[in-house]
Amino acid sequence: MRKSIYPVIFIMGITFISILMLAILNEITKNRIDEYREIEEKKQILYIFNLSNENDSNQKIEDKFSKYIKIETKDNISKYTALNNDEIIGYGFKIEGKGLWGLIEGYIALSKDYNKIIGLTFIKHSETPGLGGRIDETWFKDQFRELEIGDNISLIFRPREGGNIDSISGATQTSDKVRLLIVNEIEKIRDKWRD
Amino acid sequence: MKLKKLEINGGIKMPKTKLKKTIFLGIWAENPIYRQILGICSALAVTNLMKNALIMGIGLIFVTAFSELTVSFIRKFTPKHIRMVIQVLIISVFVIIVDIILKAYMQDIHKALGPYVGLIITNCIIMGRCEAFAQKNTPFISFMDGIANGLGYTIVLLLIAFFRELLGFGTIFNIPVMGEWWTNWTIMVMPPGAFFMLAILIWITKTIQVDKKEVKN
Repeated sequence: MRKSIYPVIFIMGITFISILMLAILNEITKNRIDEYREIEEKKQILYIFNLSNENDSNQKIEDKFSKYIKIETKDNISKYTALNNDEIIGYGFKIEGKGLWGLIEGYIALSKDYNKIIGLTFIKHSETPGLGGRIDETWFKDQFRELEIGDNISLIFRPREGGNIDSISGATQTSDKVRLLIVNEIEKIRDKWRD
Repeated sequence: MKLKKLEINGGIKMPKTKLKKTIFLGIWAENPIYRQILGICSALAVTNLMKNALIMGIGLIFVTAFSELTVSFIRKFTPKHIRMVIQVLIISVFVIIVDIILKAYMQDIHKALGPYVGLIITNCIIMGRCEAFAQKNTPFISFMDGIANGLGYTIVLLLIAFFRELLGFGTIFNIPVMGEWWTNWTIMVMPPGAFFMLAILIWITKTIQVDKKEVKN
């Protein structure tokens, strides 16, 4: 009896100590990580409007954010309006949807008439590193800069007829899912916000 | 057996004390990468920039050393048949510690290394050394074995990364050194470049380390 109980108690003890250590460390660093996440979010929102610079300091991001961006909330969903001297540049929204392996979250900026994507970024995904994970590389995101999509949201991968974006080689599934995600989210945004 | 050991290592004599011997074996004679062929996955993956390689190496030194220390401390109380579970648990704890510290204090690097930090858990070097060394040795010497093996790994990573970054980007630690005339070898920063560099390195070290007599046998 004792022989079979000892390993159980031993492993429980070790697990308990480990979790305690990690919990304490997590508690200590929590504030810092949250602060960073907030800054990162602001940076991404500025990025979709093409207002950010790779080397901006945290202070500069804060300044720019309060200068250009106005937040408006409806049913717990935020709309980020970018203004340049009272002239509206466009609207930013959070988007999320299914990827190949898990949830993909990001931000998208649309022009005033919702017919043009100003910019796109992803903040969270669990796609395969090096393949689908390349959706957050600059070349992929830059394809969506100032991209006219018209009223019927035309996002078509080259070399198909009328293609306007490239998919990632070796990550057909992720590319398709991302395309679908963007189309769905834009439809939702239009339903909700366009008058 | 003893004689044969002397013949390897290109005629360099094996140090006498256990501490020196452990360090010598870990860094040079039984280097995890080019002698034990462990930890190849990350050695191929993070070596296109020296900065990433360095941070990965430091992370691995930390995790290996402290995992070995802990495993060695509790080796006498650990029931033999569940020792592997315990080892994995201990390794994961230290990897998560590295992950949290990077996330809180070095966000840029955390972003650059991304999923590879979590993958330190699966690095065969750590488990291999815990099982082969820490399970049978005292805490201090196990800790030093972890440092030595981690250093051996880091040095190799930096060496590979040096050539890959230099040829692939024309930079060293992100500082441009090659000038305008240099054309980047894109292949060096892509996976094939890593395979070529690693193979060349194993070839060179094998040639230096292995005495002709061993080849005859």
